[in-house]
Amino acid sequence: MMLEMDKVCAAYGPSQVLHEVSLKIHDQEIVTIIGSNGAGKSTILKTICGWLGTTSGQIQFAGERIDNNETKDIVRKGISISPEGRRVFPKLTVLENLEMGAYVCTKREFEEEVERVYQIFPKLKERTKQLASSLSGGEQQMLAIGRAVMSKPKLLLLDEPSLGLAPVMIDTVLEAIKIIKESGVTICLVEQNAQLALEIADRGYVLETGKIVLEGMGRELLRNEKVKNAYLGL
Amino acid sequence: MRKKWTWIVPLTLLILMLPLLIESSYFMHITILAMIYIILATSLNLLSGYTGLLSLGHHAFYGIGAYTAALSVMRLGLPFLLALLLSGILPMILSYLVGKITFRLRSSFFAISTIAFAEITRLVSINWVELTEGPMGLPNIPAASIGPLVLNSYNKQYYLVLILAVSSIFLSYRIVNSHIGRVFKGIKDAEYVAISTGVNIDRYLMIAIMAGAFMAGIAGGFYGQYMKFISPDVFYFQMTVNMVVMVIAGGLGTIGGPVVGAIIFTLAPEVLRFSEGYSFILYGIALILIILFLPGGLWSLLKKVKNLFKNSVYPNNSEIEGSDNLK
Repeated sequence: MMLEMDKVCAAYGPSQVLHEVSLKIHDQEIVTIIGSNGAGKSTILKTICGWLGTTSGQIQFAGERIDNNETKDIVRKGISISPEGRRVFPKLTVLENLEMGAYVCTKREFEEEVERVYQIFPKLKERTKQLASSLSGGEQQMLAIGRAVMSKPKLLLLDEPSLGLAPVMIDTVLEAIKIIKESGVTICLVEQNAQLALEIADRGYVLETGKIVLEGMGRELLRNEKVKNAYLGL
Repeated sequence: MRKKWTWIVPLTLLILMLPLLIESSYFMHITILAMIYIILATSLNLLSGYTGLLSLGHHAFYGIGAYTAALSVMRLGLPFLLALLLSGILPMILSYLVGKITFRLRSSFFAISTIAFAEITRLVSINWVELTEGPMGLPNIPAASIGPLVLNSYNKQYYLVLILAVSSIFLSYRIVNSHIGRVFKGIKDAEYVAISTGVNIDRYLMIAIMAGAFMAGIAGGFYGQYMKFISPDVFYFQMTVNMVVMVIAGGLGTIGGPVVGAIIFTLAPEVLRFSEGYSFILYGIALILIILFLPGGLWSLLKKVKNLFKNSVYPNNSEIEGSDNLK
């Protein structure tokens, strides 16, 4: 078991956002969490990586409790996040952005990791000395994912990687996600674009107003009437 | 590469020979003050320029440094160099405590809490009469002596402050061009992302404030023995305002900016002296104009002029977007 959330509740101030969310992520699978705006998808990721404290319940990573730990410790344990909205450091170059992601590795590991990221995203290699702000939206998303991979995570959290990207770019990003998975990284993918997410995911959870209402294999959920109506627009 | 070095040789010679060129002791005094401000502006720039946390209490470190050096020479009879070292170390330790408390705050909240810290130090310096002689100040601080060498002339003082200024510029250059500097820029650029990469933000902010406090304290230590007198005026808020003006007008987050800013804004009040009461108005107008039309500060103006020159000499060598960063 890579990650297990057990009846996790979380709140922003007085308003409770997550209601007893329980989910499991096994080794080397892609798990997706789908749901509409404001369902609490990103909040789940925030509680996992320590940005938001939980009010009850527990989160275990590789058998160790990590809820309410600090982000910097959680990253060291092997969880990495690519936050929503292609977050990069606009005034740093592509290479510097990747260096920022490599805080937990040695210099030698760093060089190997950079090569690996450039293999996954050859576009970035061409632009290695360019400022991140000069990249296109898709390239920035690649960079954000690349940076998250730099810390050699066991579990990679991706928050809406398809957001605002051209369809061609979405395909490239999805291909990259598959490659990263094959290199042995477990992936938790949060998406509004349910169709895309369920197609590449092994398993999926459907979140509604902070509660898990449905779970199943990716393909099963794609065929599920309720999911079709609510999220796929079929 | 070779071209880059051509201007450094004459500049170094000029700086080294400055005392020979300036005959008036008044101008030597202004030059030495400018050097002190170079250290102060450079030290403030580490935290406020590179990581983006505006500190308005930075003069406290300067004042503490001044008192530390003066008191440890006068009361404890320590040799000057040791006292100077202490005048850097004590503010550095205090800055650690300040950082521990204030780093949970950002923007104006951080700025205000640093003012509060500086006000506390000012009030202590006025009211702890047994230690500081209060508002009477500490007169007759002996001039620095290094072994048998007593720095009893403007020229000798100039070379000491020159060494200190060059070292702090060098130290700050080394810091910002290492992985530490990259984190500084990352924190300023997108703190949220920096957190997500697992960087211990507080630790890096601490490096910035502690290195800055060390330099500012040393500047204070130098100032005391140079002026031979200090009073709680060293904790006067205007000091920080001067530093902030120098850093912003010179160029936030650049090595050269604070240096240029410090020189210009130390000279400006002297040059504007003819205008009497209006000098502050002119000072203010200049600052507003710089902020409006040169958001990158005077340093960016120098760069623009340099590029203009380059392009006119080599008309085909047009600047590539973003290539600034590659140099």
